[in-house]
Amino acid sequence: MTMEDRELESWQALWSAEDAGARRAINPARIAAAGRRRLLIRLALDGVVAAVWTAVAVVLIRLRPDPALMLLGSGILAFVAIASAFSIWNSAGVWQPSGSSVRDFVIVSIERRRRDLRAVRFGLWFAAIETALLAAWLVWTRGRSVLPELSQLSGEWLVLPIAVPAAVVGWLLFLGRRARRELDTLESARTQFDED
Amino acid sequence: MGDDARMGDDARAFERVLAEFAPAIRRLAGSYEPDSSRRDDLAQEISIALWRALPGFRGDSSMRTFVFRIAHNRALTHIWRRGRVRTTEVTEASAVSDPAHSPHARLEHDERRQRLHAAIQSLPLVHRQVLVLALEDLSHAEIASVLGIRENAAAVRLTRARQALRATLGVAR
Repeated sequence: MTMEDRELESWQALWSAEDAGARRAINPARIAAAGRRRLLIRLALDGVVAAVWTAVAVVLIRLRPDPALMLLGSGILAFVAIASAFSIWNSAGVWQPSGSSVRDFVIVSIERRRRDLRAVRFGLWFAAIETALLAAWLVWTRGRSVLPELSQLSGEWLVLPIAVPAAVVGWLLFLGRRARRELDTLESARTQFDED
Repeated sequence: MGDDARMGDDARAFERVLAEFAPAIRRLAGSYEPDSSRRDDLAQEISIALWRALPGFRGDSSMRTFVFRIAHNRALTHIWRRGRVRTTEVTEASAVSDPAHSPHARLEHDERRQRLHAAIQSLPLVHRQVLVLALEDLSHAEIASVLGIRENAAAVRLTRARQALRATLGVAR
């Protein structure tokens, strides 16, 4: 046995000594339940968002036979379809790494962060176009009392047309900053990986 | 085979894998995350990732390399979400300067262990990864397979990592 082997063995002995809390810290049943819960929450959230917008569109279309409401409802359905199609297209090819190694995982993670940044750019354009079209629709229907229900709402509700787009833009900018930071860190990790 | 039976098999396989690898997972988590409460969280996260990945295991590699791949991938996600690849520096609190003066052998052993863990945490990511795998007794070929690099690159990287660890521990060669 060489001196280097003895050195590695002594490090291995020290390294493996800390086992006391391991069995307590990791509970298989709790982990399996947490995993299932996360998958369900993610699926439920995606489903709820699509269902809410679809329901809003259907209610508007069926509320009364007014071309302006039909147009608004159809527009919402079209936007839900476009957003869903973009989401599927943008995530294509990055579900799994091409291989199973850590390096392959780093590469696919870099691509995922790039797709995240693309999704943020898409989201900002999408929100801008959506807001512009909605504003145009409101101008077009002004004075026609298309949705008399809205006039019964109190003044505080008027803050929504400003607060909702502002919150969406703020959230997208936050996601974009986070994706950019993660991308920089990943690129640095990839550089280290490719050194040898 | 029905879904319930398959889920039962998956659960039993997961329990077996966890029974064997839980200590290694916790040690690996410790090499990425010095904070003890976050280390436990990371160990849980790795285990959840393992639970999700295990049904896809087809035996193309050994279970050991499969587990370490999943563990490293999840740990990497943990550190880049926090925006840092290098986790900590060796501090006075984590690296005891002179364990030889400890009156009890057990205490001395603990101090040496803490010092080793702190030194590993302070190494650059690529050195840390390769060392942790070597300390878990993986061969050069297995390390190369986990990390996705060539076998000779794994050997070169391990030599450099050992030199870096010696330097950090202040071991003269």
